[in-house]
Amino acid sequence: MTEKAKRPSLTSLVGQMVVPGDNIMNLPTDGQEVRLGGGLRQIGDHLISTRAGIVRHHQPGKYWMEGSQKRYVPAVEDSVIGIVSNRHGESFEVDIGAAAKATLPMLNFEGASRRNRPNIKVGQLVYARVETVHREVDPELSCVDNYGKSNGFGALNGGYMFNVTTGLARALLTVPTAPVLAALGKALSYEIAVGINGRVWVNSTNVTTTILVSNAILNSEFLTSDQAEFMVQKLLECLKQTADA
Amino acid sequence: MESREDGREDNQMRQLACERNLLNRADGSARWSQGQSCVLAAVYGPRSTVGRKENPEQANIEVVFKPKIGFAGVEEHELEHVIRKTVEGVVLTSLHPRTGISVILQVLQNDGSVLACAINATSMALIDAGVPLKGLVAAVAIAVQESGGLILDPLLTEQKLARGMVTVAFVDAQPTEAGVPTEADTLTCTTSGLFSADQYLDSLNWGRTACSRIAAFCRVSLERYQRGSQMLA
Repeated sequence: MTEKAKRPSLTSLVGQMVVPGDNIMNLPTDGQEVRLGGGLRQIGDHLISTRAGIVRHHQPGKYWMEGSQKRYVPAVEDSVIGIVSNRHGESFEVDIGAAAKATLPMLNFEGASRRNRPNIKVGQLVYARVETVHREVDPELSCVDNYGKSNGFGALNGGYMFNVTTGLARALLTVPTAPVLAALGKALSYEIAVGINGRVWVNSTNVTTTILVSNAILNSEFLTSDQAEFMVQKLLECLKQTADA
Repeated sequence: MESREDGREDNQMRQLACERNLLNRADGSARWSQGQSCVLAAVYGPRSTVGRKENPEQANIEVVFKPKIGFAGVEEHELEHVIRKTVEGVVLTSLHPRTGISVILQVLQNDGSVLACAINATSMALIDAGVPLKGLVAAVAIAVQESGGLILDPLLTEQKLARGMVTVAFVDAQPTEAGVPTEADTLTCTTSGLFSADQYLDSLNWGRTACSRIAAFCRVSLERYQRGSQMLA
């Protein structure tokens, strides 16, 4: 296969803030393929935004809008944290913060069979992957990857969960690691799971650490990387002072 | 030309102010003020609804309008209806079938043009909630005076002395459904009182100009908020 030539983005608005109803770009006339993600729709030859946010572009020809919301709208292959709200014969009913409850079939766990069912109770947290989404039916979750391995998915035991905006959740999942998590990781040891649905789960051996990590994350939404590091340093100093006292 | 009681020109708006994301539990919220008039809007949804409200084709929109004092009466229910029709005209309801979107409006202070103020607050709260929209909505009120002259964005006292009132809302979307870029689409127009057709058409033109300026303000307000969250990346 020949190497695909990198295509420049078709709009100068990439990385810019737009509001609903803005014309992002006109459809290319030379037969280039364009794929639309969330927040964009096509009207005639125009691509129009339906949300306020930043236009993003990925090779080749993928465009979507990135914003920050409190309400989660499910999308396939999102990693989410759900609260088990009911247990049916073959599946769990899970609240992922979307309009409809999601279903998590009991066989969608690593090593699960009809005989060997996962032991999850109502009220427990699960870290799962969104497998199917359709506006007419409830979303379906899975706790295994495409190879049948758990790969980090499954029940979350202990710890503490809190809500953030979807924008902050996405920022925490970036590579390289978000500055606030990098700064916390240098000084403390803790476990974290971030769901793109705006839920963050933190666990550590010590309650004070869990509280500190959660506060640092909640404070970090509008901070630059230097500010985030400074904020974490301040919190750690407070922790040290109370421990000494 | 005699200036108005607060020293404005006839076609001058009061000062606009908007603040978003103030309510902790709502999915989206905004406080919009035009001078002393101020409305707080909260948007919940798209969330699941029950029973008869569930529509298999589109999201169900519910508007609750609360006056500053007392209970909602006939006037408030009329406003709720106008605002609901406006919201239905701009939200892409077919993207979230079988769900409900609730808009709760609380008047914090009524100093005239409260319907326009409420529609503007709703628009910003819907954007804050991330509900898919056709475009930015902006609304403005125009009063027809006894002398026959028009005044933009009337105060409560001016509103009481007026012969008639026009409240218009426009979508500030660039291309229309047909794909032809236009300046703005009329979304809602409610009138009360008695005035001539020319006065009505003039007030529509005034409204269109004022709404494009309000939309420009919304854009600046949204960009400023976005810049804050962009600092993380």
